[in-house]
Amino acid sequence: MAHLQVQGLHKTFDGITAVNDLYFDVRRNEICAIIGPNGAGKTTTFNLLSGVLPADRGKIFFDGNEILGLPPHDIARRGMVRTFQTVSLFDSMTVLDNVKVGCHGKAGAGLFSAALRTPGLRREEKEITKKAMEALKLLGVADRAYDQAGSLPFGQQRLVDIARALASDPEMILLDEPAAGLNAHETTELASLILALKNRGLTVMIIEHDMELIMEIADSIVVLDQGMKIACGPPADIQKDPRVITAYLGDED
Amino acid sequence: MTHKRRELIQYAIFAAFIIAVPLVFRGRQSYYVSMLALSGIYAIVALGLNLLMGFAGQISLGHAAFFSIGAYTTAILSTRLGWQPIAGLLPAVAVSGFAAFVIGLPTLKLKEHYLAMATLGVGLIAYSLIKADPGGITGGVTGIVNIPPLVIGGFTFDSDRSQFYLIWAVAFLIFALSFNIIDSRIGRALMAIHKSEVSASVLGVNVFSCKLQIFVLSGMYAGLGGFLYAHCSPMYYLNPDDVCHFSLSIKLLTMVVIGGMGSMWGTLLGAVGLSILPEVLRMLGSLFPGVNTTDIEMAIYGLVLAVIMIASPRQRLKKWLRLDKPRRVEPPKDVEV
Repeated sequence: MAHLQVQGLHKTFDGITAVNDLYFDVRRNEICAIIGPNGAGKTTTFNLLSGVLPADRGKIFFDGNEILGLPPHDIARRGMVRTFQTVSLFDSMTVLDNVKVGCHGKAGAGLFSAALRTPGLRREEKEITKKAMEALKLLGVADRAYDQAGSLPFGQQRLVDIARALASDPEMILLDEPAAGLNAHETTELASLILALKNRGLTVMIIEHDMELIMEIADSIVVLDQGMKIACGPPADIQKDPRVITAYLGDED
Repeated sequence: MTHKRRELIQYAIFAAFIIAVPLVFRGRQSYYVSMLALSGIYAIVALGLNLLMGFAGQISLGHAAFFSIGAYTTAILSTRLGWQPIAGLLPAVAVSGFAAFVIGLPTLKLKEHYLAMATLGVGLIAYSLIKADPGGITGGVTGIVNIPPLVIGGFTFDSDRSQFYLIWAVAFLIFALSFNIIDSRIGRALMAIHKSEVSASVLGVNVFSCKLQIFVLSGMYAGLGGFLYAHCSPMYYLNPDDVCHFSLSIKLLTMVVIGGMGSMWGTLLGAVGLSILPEVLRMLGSLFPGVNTTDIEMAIYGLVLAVIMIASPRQRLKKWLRLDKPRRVEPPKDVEV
């Protein structure tokens, strides 16, 4: 069974169709890219998948369970996390505390055990710190753990953003233009990082404009144009698809 | 110096101040002890308001309502029904917390500043109801008189000094509990919500539940403050203009804002500072006969709020006031970096 099944997903904004009757599947442990020109509905799709926006109709199955209509925190707790195009770290908090917020759903201590600092809470906090540090190490930014998040250079903020999403040990991560604003060297590192996530068993969905990056790492590609799926398949097929070339890459040749 | 050690030293200084005040102000100066005892009550309420505003970023313009609900609950139980004063503690805190729950439930689901508007309305309604007294239980404009002082374990808290120690011991406890909350999963979630509700929610934070919990807690702190006020107020007397007026809500808000939102020590200083303010104004006012110092007090709150709201986004001012957060904190010893 596919890890994620999207069936007839539809969303309009004030009469303008952003996502039009969308169907696609994402297999477990693959890297699935969503590409398309600006305004194709890629980010809206992510917003619908993560519960940030309500859909007009359709069905989304994650691990076989219907998740459409669930609040974002519930979807995150079921193992699907995401990052945003614009990195928004909690900039007055330390890098480590940012990543600890990512562990929120996995921990259960309430207000009163927190106020009284019960032994159970202390244990849990230790566990959270350990998990958060592991995520930072995986992203190679553990040395910045005690820096204020807002003081980091942009590239590192992006890595902390991903670490924060990974801290809860998700099964699937949605990355919205993770290479935007990164230099060539950082992009190469990002590519190997995403492959490393796949090796750890994660399913990855990625929206990206950097076609070189996509062709290098993606197992399958879904092409959107004006809210509709115009093609999907492995990168080699997509590159040759005439509809994709017309809609997305343009008619230059 | 490690983080833990610094924290302990701060607590020790705080405790030393509490112990010292009644020993310094004696005899004719004992008036200051009762004034500072009152500031401890405000500090308790303001600490709750700081959790709500400074950390979770939610604004309450009607915290006096929760304060007065706590005060009137215990006052009614101990005067009309003859309960032991201490028995009013749980009902006072519970009723205030429940009131916050009822108000928070519909409003905290919404974004923006619906809570500010709702609490503003609730504050005004509570004031009118207590003052009009349709049920004949709050005593209307006259208020409630002859509220008994607290008796705990056979000891009666009826002197300035004993009340001061009781109130500040509670304030100290509340301070420590609040600090623990901030330094936990819940505290981090609140700060995350403050920055971005969407970012917090996709990371697994139940934004609504967190906001509701902290709002109820701040309502309970206010109820606890009201309970102490009823049994420790000068002349054991409650009236709506002292405990439920809109100006009290603004005073509490100003305490949090002047101390730097999100700073627990700042809130304590703000509470003490603004509690002393009327006294300072009275002294200055004697130099200018014919000036009503109460009006000036409100004008000062307004000025403080306006100036801080306009100036706080400005980095230079923040640096000058040292309000900007450190760029790096000391890692704890037991964590390998």
